[in-house]
Amino acid sequence: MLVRRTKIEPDQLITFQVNDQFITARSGESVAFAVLAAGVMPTRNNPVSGSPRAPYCLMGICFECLMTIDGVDNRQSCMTPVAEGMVVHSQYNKASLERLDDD
Amino acid sequence: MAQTAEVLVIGGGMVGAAVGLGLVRKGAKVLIVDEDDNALRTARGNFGLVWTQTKGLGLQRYQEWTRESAALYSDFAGLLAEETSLSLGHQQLGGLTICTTEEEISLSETLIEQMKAQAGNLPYEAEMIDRQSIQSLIPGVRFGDSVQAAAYSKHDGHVNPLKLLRAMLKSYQLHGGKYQINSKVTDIKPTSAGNYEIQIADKTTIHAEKVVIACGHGIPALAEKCGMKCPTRPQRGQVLVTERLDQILPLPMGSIRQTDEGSILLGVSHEEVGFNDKNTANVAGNIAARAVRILPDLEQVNIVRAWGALRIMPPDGCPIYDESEKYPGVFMVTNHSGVTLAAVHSMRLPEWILDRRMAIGFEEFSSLRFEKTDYASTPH
Amino acid sequence: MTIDNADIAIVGAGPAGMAAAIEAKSSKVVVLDDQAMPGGQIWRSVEDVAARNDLHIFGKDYYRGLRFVQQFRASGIQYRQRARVIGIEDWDTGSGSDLIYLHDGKVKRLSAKRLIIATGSYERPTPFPGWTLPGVMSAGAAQIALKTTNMVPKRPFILAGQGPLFLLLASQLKAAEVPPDVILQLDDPKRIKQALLHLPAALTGTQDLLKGLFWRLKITRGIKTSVGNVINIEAHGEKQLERISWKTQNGAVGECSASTLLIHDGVVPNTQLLRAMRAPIWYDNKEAAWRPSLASIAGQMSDRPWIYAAGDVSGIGGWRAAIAMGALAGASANYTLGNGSITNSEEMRSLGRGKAIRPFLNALYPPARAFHKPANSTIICRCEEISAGEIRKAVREGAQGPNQMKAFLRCGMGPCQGRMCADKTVELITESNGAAINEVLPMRVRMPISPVTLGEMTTLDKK
Repeated sequence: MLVRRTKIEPDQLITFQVNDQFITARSGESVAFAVLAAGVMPTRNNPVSGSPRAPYCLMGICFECLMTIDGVDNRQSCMTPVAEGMVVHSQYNKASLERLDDD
Repeated sequence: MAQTAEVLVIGGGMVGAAVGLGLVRKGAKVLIVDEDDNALRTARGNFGLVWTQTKGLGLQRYQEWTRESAALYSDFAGLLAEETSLSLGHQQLGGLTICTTEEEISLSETLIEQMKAQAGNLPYEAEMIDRQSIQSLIPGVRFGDSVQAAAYSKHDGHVNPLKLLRAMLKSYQLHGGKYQINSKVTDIKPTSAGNYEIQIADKTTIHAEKVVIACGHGIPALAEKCGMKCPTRPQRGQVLVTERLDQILPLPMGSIRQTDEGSILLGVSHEEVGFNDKNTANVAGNIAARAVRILPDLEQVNIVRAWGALRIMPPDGCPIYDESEKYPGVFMVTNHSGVTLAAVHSMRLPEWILDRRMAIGFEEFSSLRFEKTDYASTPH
Repeated sequence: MTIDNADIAIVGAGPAGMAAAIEAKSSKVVVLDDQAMPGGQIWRSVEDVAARNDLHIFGKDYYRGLRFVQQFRASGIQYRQRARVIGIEDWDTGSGSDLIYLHDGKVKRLSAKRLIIATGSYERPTPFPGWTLPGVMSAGAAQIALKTTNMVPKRPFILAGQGPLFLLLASQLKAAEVPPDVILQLDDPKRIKQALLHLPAALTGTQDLLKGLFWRLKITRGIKTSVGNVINIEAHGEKQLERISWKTQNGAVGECSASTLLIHDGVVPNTQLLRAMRAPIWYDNKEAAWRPSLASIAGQMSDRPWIYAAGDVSGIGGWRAAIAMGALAGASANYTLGNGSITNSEEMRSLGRGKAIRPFLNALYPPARAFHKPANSTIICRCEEISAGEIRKAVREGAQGPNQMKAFLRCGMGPCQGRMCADKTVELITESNGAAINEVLPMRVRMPISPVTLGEMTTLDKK
């Protein structure tokens, strides 16, 4: 889990949705960082056993940070920059076609 | 001291493992020799269909053989699963070949007519079904507008080929079969004692009463040493694998099927490129485009892996089973449907190998058929 | 369609990739990098950090990176950020290859006469009980968070590991005024004897040696609990990390509550793209890692001299060596296209100085004991959840290499494509069958080396 050293400057403030809450982020940072700073855990369940997982390497290697971002399942949240109004979900299940239709 | 075996099976892939398993179940003392970790291993590239509807045009005996294997499959896979406690992902609730153009429809229709005509009084049960029937068989997904019709056979299905192979090797070993890797066979010679001496690349030798050559693309060279002809060629097929999805496809649709683990396998190309087993971006693009045409909601699904594998393709696409005249007791088993035929390979071929008991018409599978003057290669 | 061409394509905009590009700029150079800014992992986000006046946290070497990134930006080289290479084609046709990459949601092809692979390194995976729990992260992840977006680990947090990056991160976190609550040192103090044999050579790189010594001496300063000689570590928790426990060589045990555990055991070359082009790679026992087999000091691959590997991907050497190797590769690639000239003497000296300390470090920090011979229940393949015990069992059933292991267990078939488990799988196979690691072939990898959607895959223009 992460915490911010400094407050986000107002001109860099971005708000987006993770699961049922709205969280803030600094413009330019990747989703995984904002999610970890907001204390959202787990960010996914392993599709084999359902065990809880969260970002591990933050550099695009481990693929533990996969989340549903703007309706698309299994996106690497450590490689995806935040955007105002983005909708992010922890990926608790396997990817599903129906969920794609809903969003 | 050379190792000895009653039957030496060369090749631990889909064919060798099935035959080896059948032999040990009949009480034979069997040794399977296999190559190293990076061998070509067609068995690792399998798509996993248990498939009858397109098999056997041009050789009626093969049509029947495939049907026989499909009919035996549930017993075969069930026993394997029970013995090994591995779940094989086997399901045979029917299978579809989706048609997205008029041309594809006409090809499928023609194939069904020809297969039926060839079968005569024997059953060949496949039919064309319309879009609505496709949707009722696979209710949970949205089909693309181009999906117009499909060929359907209730006998078809699929199995997890990697688990099948693992289960066959495991069961084989549970029955006392020996399995040895890093053992590429370089030569087979008769001995004065009336059996065969098999030379391994590391200079060791194995003595066996009987030999089954079942090492895929390695067969032609070994077969020739034993006076047999094996005119197979490699044909590349590329496959894409998606991330795991919820179960959405209850039936395999030819080149699109969902595995028991949830991944969707997308196939499959037919490329004449020799022994080049690379996968390419262009073919991946074509496979992806067809998949999205058939199931538009796959557009945002990730491909997590892909591969290219080399089918073992006889000139007519049908299996070749032969015993050497020059070296009696040396057999050759090859085909490109190791998954579908696993049941008959395991349950029928051992009688032929151990006792030379052959089912009626079995001799039609001999490579002698390629020497007939009226033989013409049929695209498969 | 028009084919996108380059004389020289470079994969990776870290020290090696940037140095190669700068050196080769008289040719048409295109650099592809999957991050948002140049700098690689070592100089990650250096421009941002400078803008927020935080450079002091990361030290002089990081500051050096800012000047280098500025020089790279100013060189006029075509640099494509967030461009992720997913595959390579025509690596064996005799000259020139195609990179397949994902950029702006499209799959694109770049044809180049020369290729320089500068994909760097990543942290050696560290399987131990509980390492999949949320709250356990690699130490590098914390450093990236600090660099890219000024975040620090949530307390209480534990830093466990060994090696230069471990020591560096400890000093950086202290500079950021968030010292770890507990430090667990996983190195074996007895190794210093073997390491001292390499000290004379290491003295050529005095700078690095002194810096490391300084970090090492200061590591426990300001830390409430610091434990040395740790040989076992476990993370516990239901849905996330709650507690960790450890054991030392002399039998002492300890535990503490934890929100975050940062773990580090050195870095290994990121050979994924090299594996995808079936490049010859070999296991270096000294580095305890797979690295490419190279034919020249410029980093040309032994069987395809138009492809180069430079920087950490060719064998761990750190940024100073990476710059030198990148420059050598860039100059050579440029020269073989009829441009520029080769005057290597400065780079060669610099490479020598940069690599001087490596034998010392390799002897001092072999892979940590805490991750040796993992218990049967420890997860090795995180994606497919395959345990050490399952792998050992499959070896007995006949899976004698990582590629057969994939077929048997799906180990390495998940989205990370074996990055986290391939090497450990090989190690477990050799542990079970007694083979040497170099007798077991490495796990094979194919395009796409990173996931790509079916929709994205359809966007590729046909060649």
